[in-house]
Amino acid sequence: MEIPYTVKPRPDTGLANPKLGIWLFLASEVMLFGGLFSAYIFLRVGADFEWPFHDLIVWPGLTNTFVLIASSVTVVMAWVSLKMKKYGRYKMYMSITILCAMIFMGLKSYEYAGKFKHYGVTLKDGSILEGHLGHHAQGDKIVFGEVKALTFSLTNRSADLRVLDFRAEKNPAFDPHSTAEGNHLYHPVHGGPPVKVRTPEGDEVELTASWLKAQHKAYAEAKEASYKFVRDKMDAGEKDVKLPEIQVKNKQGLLVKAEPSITVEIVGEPLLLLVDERDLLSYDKNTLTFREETKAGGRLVTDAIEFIPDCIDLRRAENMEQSLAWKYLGEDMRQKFFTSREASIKDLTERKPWLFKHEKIDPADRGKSHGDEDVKRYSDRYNDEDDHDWAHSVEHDKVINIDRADKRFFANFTPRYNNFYAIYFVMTGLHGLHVIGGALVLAWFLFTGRKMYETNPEQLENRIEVGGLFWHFVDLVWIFLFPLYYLM
Amino acid sequence: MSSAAHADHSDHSHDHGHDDHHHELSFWRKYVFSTDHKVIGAQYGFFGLVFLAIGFILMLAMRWSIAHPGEIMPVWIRTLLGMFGPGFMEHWAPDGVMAGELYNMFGAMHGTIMVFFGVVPLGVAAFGNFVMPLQVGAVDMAFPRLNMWSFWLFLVSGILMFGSFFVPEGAAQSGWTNYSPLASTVGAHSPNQWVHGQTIWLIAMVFNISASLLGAVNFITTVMNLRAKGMTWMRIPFFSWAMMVIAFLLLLAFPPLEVAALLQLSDRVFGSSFYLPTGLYVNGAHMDVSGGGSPLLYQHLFWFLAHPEVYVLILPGIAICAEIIPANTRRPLWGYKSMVGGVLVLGFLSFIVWAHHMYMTGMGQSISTFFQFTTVMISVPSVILLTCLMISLWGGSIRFTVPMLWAVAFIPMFGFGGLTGLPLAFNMIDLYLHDTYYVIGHFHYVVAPGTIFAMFGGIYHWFPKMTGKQLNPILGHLHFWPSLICMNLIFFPMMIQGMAGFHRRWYNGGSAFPNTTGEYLWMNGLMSNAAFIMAAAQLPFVINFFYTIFLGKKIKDDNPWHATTLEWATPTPPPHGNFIIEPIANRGPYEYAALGTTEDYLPQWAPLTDHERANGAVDLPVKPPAAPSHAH
Repeated sequence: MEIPYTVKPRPDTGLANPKLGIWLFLASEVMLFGGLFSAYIFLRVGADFEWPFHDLIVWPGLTNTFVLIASSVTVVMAWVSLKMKKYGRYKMYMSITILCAMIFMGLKSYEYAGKFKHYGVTLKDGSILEGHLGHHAQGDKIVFGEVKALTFSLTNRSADLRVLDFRAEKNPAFDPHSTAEGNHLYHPVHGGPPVKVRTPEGDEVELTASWLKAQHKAYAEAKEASYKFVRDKMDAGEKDVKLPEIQVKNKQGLLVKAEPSITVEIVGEPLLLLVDERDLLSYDKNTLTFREETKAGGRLVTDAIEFIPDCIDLRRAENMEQSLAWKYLGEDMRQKFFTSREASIKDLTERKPWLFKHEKIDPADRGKSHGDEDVKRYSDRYNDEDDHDWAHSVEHDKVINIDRADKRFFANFTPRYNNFYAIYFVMTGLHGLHVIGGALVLAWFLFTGRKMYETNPEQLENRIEVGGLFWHFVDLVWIFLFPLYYLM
Repeated sequence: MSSAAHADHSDHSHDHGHDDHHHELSFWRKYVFSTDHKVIGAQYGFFGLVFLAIGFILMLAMRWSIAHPGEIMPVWIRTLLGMFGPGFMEHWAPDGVMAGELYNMFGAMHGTIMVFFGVVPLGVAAFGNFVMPLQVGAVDMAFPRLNMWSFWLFLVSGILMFGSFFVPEGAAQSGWTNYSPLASTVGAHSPNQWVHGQTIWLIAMVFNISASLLGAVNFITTVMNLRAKGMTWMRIPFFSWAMMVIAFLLLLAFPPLEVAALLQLSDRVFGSSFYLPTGLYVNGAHMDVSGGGSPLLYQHLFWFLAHPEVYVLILPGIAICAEIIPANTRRPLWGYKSMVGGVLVLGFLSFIVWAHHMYMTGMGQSISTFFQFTTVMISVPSVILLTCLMISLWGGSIRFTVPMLWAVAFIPMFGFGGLTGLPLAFNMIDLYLHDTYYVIGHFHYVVAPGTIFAMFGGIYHWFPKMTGKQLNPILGHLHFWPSLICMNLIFFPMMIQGMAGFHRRWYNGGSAFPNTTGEYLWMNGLMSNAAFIMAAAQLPFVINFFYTIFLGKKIKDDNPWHATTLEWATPTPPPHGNFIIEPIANRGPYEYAALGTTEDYLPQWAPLTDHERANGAVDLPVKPPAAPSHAH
């Protein structure tokens, strides 16, 4: 059996199967990215926050645009070389194409990496500080010490010993004068020694997953026994059967009420925990509650966010003069900010006077006018690129400690930060996956093509053509992505 | 079984893994990792039926809760739910009573499994894969290996979806539509989002969507490029036309759902806020997200898929009936050309009606009006399709075979589902009926006694071709009649309850609001009992299915229904490569009661009659057959 038209086109449709197939696939890809572009428009039009404008550095994006365009040319050259039966040139052009893909992904990784290290804190009044984490004591982690008791839920099926993964200790090599990355006062302990605990019944046991599992199992069995009693009564036709108390056997063999959680005391050194706030349901001075409802009893050492700001964004601040940011940045910075703001408003009035016309005509419309948007865009956001003095005034060892109580939202520039970065990462990430997938297929054609070139060159040409069509599509998507994210 | 079709270009060696028919394939390659469209169709069909059964069992447990709120589930339902293994019911329903969470889980998974894992795989992937290449006279699908990938991706997605019941926090609980922000925030406290049922739902859907994309590309390429000699566009049987339109719907409508799923996945595991508005409070606490997203965006992306998906659900039903009815009325399909036109228009319009699911979101009057307009418009091609089927009965000498029973029942049942949809198209009326049992009744009439009836008809119709054995008609009657009666007893009262204001997601069936629902509460018992009887009515089918496969008698005739389309020209069951003689289409697909023949049917592959020659038809160039032609 042979499928017809795998290589030669069918006369009445004029297409061979693979070509028809790739066009159909591309149609669905258009719908995929079409959906994403629509989502972008939907999110941007409906955004109730300051949509980042010119936040991305242009040169890597621009370079990538040219790199991809170049690769689109070389993939065509590779196909033409095959048609001209020049296998050597085909190999060269195909290698350049794949090299371009690698350059593209390299630059992309560089861009991504910068965003993972860049953070923003939205304070309670809407002021935003952007910058980096301080390399000093704990960064953005919560330090919780003197942990002497742990409580594990027996009803939550996700409960496990994850809490032990957050163990930390004071760094013996810590140098208070060093600004080097990784110089933290507290540092996590990976795979620390086993922890011994005392159970409510007075036994000393090692805290292991199998021990916790046994506790879960005992509770589940006790619960099931009580419920089985109810089910049997109800099956027998009784109504409103009360659930009997859930009981387990204690050490003496007596039935006692089963507790839905178990609290153990740490034997020996109390634990020190270094946790991300997002791993917690809640915390206070004496208790951490993890997401799986495990509780740790101890003492909160510090929950401040160590931060090195490089940008102040007061566009959404309730009151710029009284912004919470000044609590941390001080009077000097405040004056600098307003001096700079006045200067840039003056600059805008001179350079773009038409921006302010609208305001004069109808002051009631202020805040809605396009001009006002631009004034906010340029003036109420202040970063170290605008003012080199400031970059000096906030030295990198000058770390501010932001009180978590003052914080409304805190994240690095990942999808969490806001919807601009969210859709940026989803779209460029998905595009990147297409680049990788396309490059892998082209590389496969490159490295395994010789045999087919000798036996069935036409089929190899078709493959390169089909792969090239996909590659052009990937390029085309980037041609849309670049202006959308970097320029508009 | 060499096909003459490949003689044109056998001038090169086949070194790149084409299945060669000269050596015997191993068991694994033949039945498990098969690239043969018929085996893949059977695989899809089997798992489609399994998932239909799973979805049905979930529904039985839900119906118990509706009719007997707060009462312990009877032992037989608990036994059926034993499919979840030990520990599941002990955790989710320790006292044997269905709690709200479990009902929500079952509700969400009933919808998901039935739509994405039951009806579409059975109706489109199984019938489409098995019948369509045969009907257009192809040796296989255009891309057999992609076809295999499609099935395995589907199976992975099905395993993931069913497996999500077993993770600590259970399966998805936010309805089959998984609207955000609920679906983005449910279980947000779970320490590991990747193993939460709500997240697994999204991952499984991404696999499912990839599977259907591969299938769709394959279907369209096969119909366009692998048609047999003489199979011009207007000689393609309606079933294959419909499959191609369905494939286009899948191809173009599924990617936006993939977007919806990816964005929701990002919300769940990367903490983004695509669908989370500013200031969201969950469980009494301000949610720690940036906000600024739009719940409406999810609904747009979801329904951009899910409305075409409705036609993906219903078109296989219409398509199967369009094959069964002419074969059993012994007269041509009435209005074949208008049906082809209708299905194309239907496919196009189905892309611009999605927001009629969203009248209640307050999109604005002008947008509602637009979608109301297009929605009413799409009823025109739907009515054309149904009317053609109905008129096809007119004046025929109808043979009430078992497949015909299902097909004839399909017409009024689907018609009823369609007509009850008209009020929902109107914005004002929908404001009242939205999210009531009326909606449930409406779409179940379309899909359950509609599509599923047609699919049962299709199983009885093509079973002899698939297995070479004929399903027992007595058991078939025992399957059909109780199902017909019970379907109506289940879904008709829903219309009445819906108009009385019963909300579709009440796990206690409305007993919590006796002042407003009291008068109609008795219907819950009627509907649930009908559902339980219908469960029993499926037993004859299960028995019939396995009995016939393993112990049934071989049929002798390759064309037992005396049908005209090309799938009946193959040996039974069709071998790898399908045709012994070169398949050609000398005429249209439904030449029953044709002039110039003594039989009451004239198959597409039969030689030209004198009458046709007299009207100017000429013989297509055919290679001499490699094996003796078989009689029909």
